Amino acid sequence: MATVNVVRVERNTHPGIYPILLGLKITFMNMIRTLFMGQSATIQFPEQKRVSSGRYRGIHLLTAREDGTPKCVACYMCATACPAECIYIEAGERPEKSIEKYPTRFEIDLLRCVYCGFCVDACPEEAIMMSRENDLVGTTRAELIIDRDRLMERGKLAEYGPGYRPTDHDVRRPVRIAALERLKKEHGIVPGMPHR
Amino acid sequence: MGALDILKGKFVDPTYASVHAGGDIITTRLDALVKWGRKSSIWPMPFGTACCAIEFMAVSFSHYDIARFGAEVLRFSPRQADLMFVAGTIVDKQAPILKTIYDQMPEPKWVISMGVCASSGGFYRSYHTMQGIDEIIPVDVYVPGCPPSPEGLIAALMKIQDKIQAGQQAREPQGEDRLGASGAGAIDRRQRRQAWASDDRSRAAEGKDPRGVLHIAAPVEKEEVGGHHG
Repeated sequence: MATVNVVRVERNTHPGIYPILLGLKITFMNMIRTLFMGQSATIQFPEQKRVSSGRYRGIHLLTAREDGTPKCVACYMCATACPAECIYIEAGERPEKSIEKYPTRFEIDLLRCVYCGFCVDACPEEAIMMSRENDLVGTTRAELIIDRDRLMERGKLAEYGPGYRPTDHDVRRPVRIAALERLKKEHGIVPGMPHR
Repeated sequence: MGALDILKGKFVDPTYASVHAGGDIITTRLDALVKWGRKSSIWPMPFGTACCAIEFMAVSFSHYDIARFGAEVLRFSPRQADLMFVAGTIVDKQAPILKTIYDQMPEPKWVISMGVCASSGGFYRSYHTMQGIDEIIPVDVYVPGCPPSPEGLIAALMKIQDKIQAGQQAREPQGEDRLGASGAGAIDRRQRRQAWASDDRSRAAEGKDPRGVLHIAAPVEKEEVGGHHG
């Protein structure tokens, strides 16, 4: 037979008013802190914005080339990776041989988008990234389908700050580089396309 | 307008004719006062079915504190509420419940569709999920996000306050007018599903595949005799 240690608690003793005062002390301390010492936890939202991480996944942005045209080459990678199928792209032709395509239409249905950031990860051109804008609401559905020109608007980026994007926040990049170097050094393998 | 009308609350109805028809100044001022009072004391009801309801808690707690907008009195009875937060996925089975609860709310009432599941079905492009609650009930404000941030929800609340001030209210479900709708709402989708199912059954009785199956003639590789294994 196993032994069980039983702790007896005297439930019928009267602790008096002391625990209540203890609780009230915490309450009043918080009240004083909030009212007089300016240590309120509340963020006064419309005037004061919460500082969010640089990897925050907010509303999308399309980046531009130097001449102001979208960097996007309409490869449909983001639309393919999108789990919510909220990206709609129509491609047009560009005269440059190195670019070939650009999006004539690029629409994101924000009422389908789940802000997973897969489109940012999938993009080979770093054309789509995310901002930290998170307080967009609409009274109709059509308002919340944002098109290419709204996605390329830079003012929002200045106001809210850049969010999730592949280049600056790739925390695994050093790890991957180290792994590739080790593969090359120890096994003589350089990963890439297989030789035919 | 007599005292009885005021008691009945007729003067507060934004669609009530004599309020806007250039009547006496007292009623119009009173109307503005009532609107101000109404927008500063919204009693919301959370209709939470999924994770958006968890995010809704964040809005009501001290960091984002919707008491600053007078909306901290959460009512869990539709009869006491005038704003409904629909937070979460609404499946077809839940749709009649949502409709009933919306109908139980007293006029005037507003609806915030919180998150992508409630607004459009989100990535549940599926047979069982409502493709947006605006198939069955009117929606005033849509909040994108999965789940929306508390900032987005507060912005929605402020938009509702603007609508109350302007005397606007969504009256009709958007139904087939809404974007991306294929048909006239949930019942139509259900009929279509049943039509598909009966079509599949009748084709199966004839020994055929369902219509969605593509028949591509795949090249059959000739097996090598004594070739490699696997």
